[in-house]
Amino acid sequence: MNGPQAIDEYLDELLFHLRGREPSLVRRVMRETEDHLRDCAAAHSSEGASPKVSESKAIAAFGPAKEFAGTFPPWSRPMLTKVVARQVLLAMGVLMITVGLSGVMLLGLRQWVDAPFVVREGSAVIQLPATGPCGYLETDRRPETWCPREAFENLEAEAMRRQVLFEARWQLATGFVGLVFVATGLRIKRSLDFRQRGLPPAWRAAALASLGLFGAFFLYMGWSWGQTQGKQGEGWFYAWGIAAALTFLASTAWLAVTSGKAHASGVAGPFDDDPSGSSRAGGLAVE
Amino acid sequence: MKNELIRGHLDLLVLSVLSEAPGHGYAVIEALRARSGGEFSLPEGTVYPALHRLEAGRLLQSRESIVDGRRRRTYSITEDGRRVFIERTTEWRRFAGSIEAVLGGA
Repeated sequence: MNGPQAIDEYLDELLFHLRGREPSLVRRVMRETEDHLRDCAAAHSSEGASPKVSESKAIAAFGPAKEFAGTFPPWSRPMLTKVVARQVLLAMGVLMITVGLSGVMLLGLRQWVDAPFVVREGSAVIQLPATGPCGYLETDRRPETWCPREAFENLEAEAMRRQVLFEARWQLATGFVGLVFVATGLRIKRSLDFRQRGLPPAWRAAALASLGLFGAFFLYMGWSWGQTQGKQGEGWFYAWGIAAALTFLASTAWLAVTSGKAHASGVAGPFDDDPSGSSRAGGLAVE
Repeated sequence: MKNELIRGHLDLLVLSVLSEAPGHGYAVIEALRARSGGEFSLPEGTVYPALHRLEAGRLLQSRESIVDGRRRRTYSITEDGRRVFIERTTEWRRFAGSIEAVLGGA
């Protein structure tokens, strides 16, 4: 360990033993330790010792890195809360994303396998386009007006298909929420690792696009569900979908605006890394 | 001197040094060494947890500044710290006097 660059090696070892501690504490301990060791080595050098001996003496006087690191508390309550939140969000997010993927598969299968609306006509089978005037939207409302009588006989199959579509949409919504959970979990992880206060620049566009997509998705859900369910008196589908869409679109706008203001004012916004750059050292935030 | 003896009184010793003038960690250690005549041979790293602990207890405060082109975290004693220092110094002197009185007859 001791020799040229021995202080750097000591600091590397100390950083390893400080893992799991509050990042702000780690930064402070690392900085104070380095300052101390450099001062001490400089004092020995001024007395005529070689750089190698100076560093060795400074390290010997300071004490073993593992023992020194062990004198600092491993977990603070906020740190523990963040770690638990991160784990829960990541686990739930991954689970919800798998549900969302299931919805994607379900919609895909419906699109490619069950696209036409099949009805029986006596012993023959005919196909009607799912989106045509005899599609499922109108079939069970006024079949006598819009569709051949045969379509009416297939109402049970149509109801099942509509149920599948309904479930697939919920699964997709769950998957979107899962994405948000995972993103939040990763954001917390990042703050734990590096104490960064915002998203990296490369993430900003992705975050804005995701939130916008989320809003658009719910807008579509509100419109779509309103079309299918609202006509049967379940108008809350409209309200729910539109409220969700507006919420997410408003969130997107707010984040975009605050991020822009933060850049203008030099104050960190929710999407910002520290814009001043004055409180960072080596990519890590400094108190 | 036994390290255990010093560790038990490290907080008081650090408060004592900083009650005279603010200083950074290395300066505190140097002052401890000088004022003890080289008797205190604790690993120097043990002083930093004490500084952090005293700051967490609001007996010390610290701020970072640039001195001679280098970053320094300078510690200074607070009013609470000064009050505690006086109380504990009084206690220690009473205790040391009692011990001395007992040992003196030996």
